[in-house]
Amino acid sequence: MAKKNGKTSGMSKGCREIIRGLKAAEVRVLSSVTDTYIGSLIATVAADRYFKSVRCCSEEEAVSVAAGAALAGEKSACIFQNAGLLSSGRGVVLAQTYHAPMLMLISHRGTHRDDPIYYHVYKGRTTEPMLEGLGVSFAHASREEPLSAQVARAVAYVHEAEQPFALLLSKGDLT
Amino acid sequence: MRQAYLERLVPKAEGHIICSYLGSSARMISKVRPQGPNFILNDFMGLNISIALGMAVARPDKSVIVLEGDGSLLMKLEALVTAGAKAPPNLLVVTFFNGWYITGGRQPLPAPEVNLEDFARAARFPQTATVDTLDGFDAALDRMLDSGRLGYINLRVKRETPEQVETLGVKAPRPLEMRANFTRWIQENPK
Repeated sequence: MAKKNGKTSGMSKGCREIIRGLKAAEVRVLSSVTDTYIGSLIATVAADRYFKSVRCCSEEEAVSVAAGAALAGEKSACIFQNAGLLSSGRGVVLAQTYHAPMLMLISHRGTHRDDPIYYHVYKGRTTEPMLEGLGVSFAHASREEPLSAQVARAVAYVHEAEQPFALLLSKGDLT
Repeated sequence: MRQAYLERLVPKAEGHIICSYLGSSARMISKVRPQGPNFILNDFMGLNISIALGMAVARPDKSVIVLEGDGSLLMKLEALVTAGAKAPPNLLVVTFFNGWYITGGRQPLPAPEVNLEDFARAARFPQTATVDTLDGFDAALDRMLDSGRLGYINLRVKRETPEQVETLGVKAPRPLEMRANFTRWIQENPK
């Protein structure tokens, strides 16, 4: 595939790494609500026959779909923007209540580090307090390690913990 | 009472997953089908179809039957759109419609005459029906369950009195007890 500015045409390196990590961890079901930085990832997953992709209208649905799939025995993950976390509280608590081992890949908008845009700032400010308030274990993706390894390790973690886990992905991780 | 409809459903649903919403229906399905792959949501109104959709996608070899309530469904109408778009062939949504929040406050719905079948049809469910008799429910089940197409049944029922619900004599299982039974069944019945 043609490369431009270090990116494979149509998908960023970060998104390719995420897919690599999901496949390495044998995640099959991926539910999603789109966002600027994860749109191409979602489109790629939807077109890849390896995955069972469920595009949702709301993030609370995406969390619940992933939880249902996980409880039915299929490794699963959901991906959405952090604004959706604010409206997904019940879905997240559902996953916790029923010990659903599923990964939440959350694009972390509105941070001071690389996305300080005024209409995103409220999301960046409230993401960690929301996760902490819900008691969800989470981590920021590191740029010191391949993202694929971090994704695979996060999947391993949710199955050991039998609890959801959130991996926060900033603009720099996804582009 | 809803229990009579569940007694018609359960023999046809042997070996299939039933996802039930909270309250009276959770207790009734626990009584009518005490064993088997029942997933019962304690509270979490509105999320039943989404949970079931995930299960249907994960287990295409099993039918997944959703027992939903009208008030619960109204809290997450977009779930019909998502399900209609994905259209898993093994998902059947049954909504008990009585126009009331029976478990939470015994109050009428904001719009008790809303036609939920219209929403399912608008969400491109390929099969929909509104029924209000046991025979009608039987016929809809025979048409839709295991048909290989996503289906929606709007089941109009009379609301039970608190006394009728209390006569059930069972409580819905606790979350972790239910989860343990459900996941054990999943493991013992692999794809």
